[in-house]
Amino acid sequence: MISLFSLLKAELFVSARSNASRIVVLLPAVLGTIQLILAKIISVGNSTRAALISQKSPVSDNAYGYFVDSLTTGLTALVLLSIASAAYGFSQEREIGTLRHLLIRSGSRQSIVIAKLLHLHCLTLFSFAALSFAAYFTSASLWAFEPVVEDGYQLIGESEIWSEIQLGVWLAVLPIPASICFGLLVGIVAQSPGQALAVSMGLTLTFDIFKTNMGAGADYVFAKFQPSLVDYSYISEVSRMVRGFSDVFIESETIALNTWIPIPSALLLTALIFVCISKRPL
Amino acid sequence: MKKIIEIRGLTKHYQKDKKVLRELDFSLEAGTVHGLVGLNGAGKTTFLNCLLGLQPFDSGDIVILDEKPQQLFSQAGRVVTVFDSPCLHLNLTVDQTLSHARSLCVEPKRTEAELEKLLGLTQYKDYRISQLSLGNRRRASIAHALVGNPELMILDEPFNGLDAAGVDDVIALILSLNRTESTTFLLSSHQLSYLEQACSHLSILHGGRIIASDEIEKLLQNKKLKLTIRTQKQEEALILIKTRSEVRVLEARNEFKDSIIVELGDWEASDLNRFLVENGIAVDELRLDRPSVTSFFRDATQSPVPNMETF
Repeated sequence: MISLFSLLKAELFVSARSNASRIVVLLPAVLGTIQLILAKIISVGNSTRAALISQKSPVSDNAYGYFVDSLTTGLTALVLLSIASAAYGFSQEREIGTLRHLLIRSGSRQSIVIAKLLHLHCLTLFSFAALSFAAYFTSASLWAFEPVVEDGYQLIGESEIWSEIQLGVWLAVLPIPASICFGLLVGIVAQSPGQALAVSMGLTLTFDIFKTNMGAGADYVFAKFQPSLVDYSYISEVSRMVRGFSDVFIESETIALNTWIPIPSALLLTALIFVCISKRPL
Repeated sequence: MKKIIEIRGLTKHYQKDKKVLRELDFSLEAGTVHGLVGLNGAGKTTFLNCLLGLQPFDSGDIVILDEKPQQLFSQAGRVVTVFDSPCLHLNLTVDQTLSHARSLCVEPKRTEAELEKLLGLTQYKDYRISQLSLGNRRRASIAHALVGNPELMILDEPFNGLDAAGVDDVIALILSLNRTESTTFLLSSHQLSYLEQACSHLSILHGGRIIASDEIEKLLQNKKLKLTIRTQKQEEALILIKTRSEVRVLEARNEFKDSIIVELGDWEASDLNRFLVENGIAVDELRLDRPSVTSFFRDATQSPVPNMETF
C-alpha cells in the first residue's frame, strides 16, 4: 500500500497537466481583475461627470471597497467551480476508469477519497491565493488603500478595515470545505459526469434562489454563508462597511452560525462520502 | 501448484431473481496463462469486477493472492489489470502516463523509455492518450500495467483494437513474461483463436457458472474429430452412414450443396471415404475439423445450463 502522500502527489501530477484545474485556479482571479478594471473605467467616468457638474462624488473612491468587491466576485466563482470540479472530476474518473487502477494497486476507497479531498482543497487554496494577490495588486495599482474619511473626519481606520476584511474573508472561506464535500458526494452518487455537474450546480443554484424563502431554516445550511450569485454572506456587507456606509448591521447570531455550521457540515458530508464510496461500484 | 485465485460460491445479482453469477467456483494456478471465455452477457466483466473488489457481491468467498478483493491494494501492485477500455487520463501524454504510474508504484521496475520500447510506443511518447488509436491505447494500458513487477496480470479483451502484428506482439509479450518472470495471466476475451495461442488453461463461463475449466489440451483430448462430407447423394449417404457404429451423424443440412457432419469414432476419414465410394457414392468434399477452442466453446455453450431458474 502506498502512502496518502503518494496518492496526493499523483493527484497533483495529473492536476498540473489538466486544463480544468488551471481554470479552477485562475478563473476567479481573472474575473476579480476584470471586475476591478471595469469598476475603474466606470469610476473614472463618474468622477469626470461629477467634476463637470461641480458635484462631489457620492461614494469615496477607496481601494478597499473595490478590493472586497473583487474578492466577493472571485470567491463566488471559486465556490461554484470547486463544487463543479469536485462533482464532475470524480464522476469522470469513475467513468473513464482511472479510479480502478488506484483501487487495485494503490489505496483503499477511503484513502483515495481523502487524497481527492486534499487535492481539491489544495486547488482551492491556490485559487484563493491567486485571487487575493490579483485583487490586492490590481486594486492597489488603480486606487489608493486609505482610511475612510468624510468631511475631514476619519470614519474607519485602516486597521479596523483590515480586521473587518479578514473576518469577512474568513467567514466566506469557512463554508468552502463543505461545498467541496457536497460536490464530491454528488460526484460519487451520480451515474455520469454530466448528471453530477447538473445535479451539483442545480441544487446549489436552487438553494441560492430559495434561501430567502426558507426563513430561519436556511441558517442551518452551510451554503447560506458562502458568497453566491444571490449574496447574503458577511463579506458582501463588509464591502459596504469599508466604503463608509453607516447602515451596515450584522447580527452576532448570524456570525456565530456562519462560524459553527460549515465545519460540522463538512464533517457530516465526509462521513456520507465514506458510506457512499464503500458501496459504490467503481 | 499454488492457487493464486480461489473463488467459492460466488453469487451476484443485479435485479431481484436475475442472478448474473450463480454459486460460481473458480481457481487459478500460479504460473499459468488462463483464458476466460463466455457468451455476451455471460457475466465475465461482473466476475472480474467482483474479483478485483470493484463491485460488491451477494455471497461467496474470494481470495486473491491471500487477500480479500477489498484489500487488494495492500498487495501494492502485485496484481495489475488491463481493462477493456484504456482507463487512463486522456489529457496526459504516453510519457506522462507512465511517469504517473511509476509515482504510484512502490517498486517500479521499468523506466518510461523501457516500457515504450517494449510496447512499440517510442514514437508516440509525446502523444496524448486521447490522440492515440485504439490499438495504441491498448499498448499504453499494457505498458501502464508493467511499470512494476506484477505476479498476476488480468487482461480484459486484451486484443481488441490491435492489428495482426499487434496481437502477435502482445501474445509474444504474455508468453515471454510468463516464461521469464513466472507472471500469471488471466485473459478474458471473445477472440478464441488468440486465446488458444496464448493460454495454457481455459475456463468457460456460461449461465453464471464455470462449466469447464482445465488445461486446454485436457479439455480438447476428449473431443472427437468432426468430418464434413459433401455429396450429390445426401440421402443415400446418410442412410449408409447410419448403418455404421464407427461414426455418429451430428447434422445433415442442405443449405450449401448437400453436406453431412459426422463425429468420427473408431474410423479415420479415409475409412469413411472408402466406405462411401465402395457403395457407389461419389464424395465431392471431405473436410476434417480438428477440435479447437472455438468448437469446444461452441459445443459447451450450446447446451442449456442445468438448474437454470432465471437468467
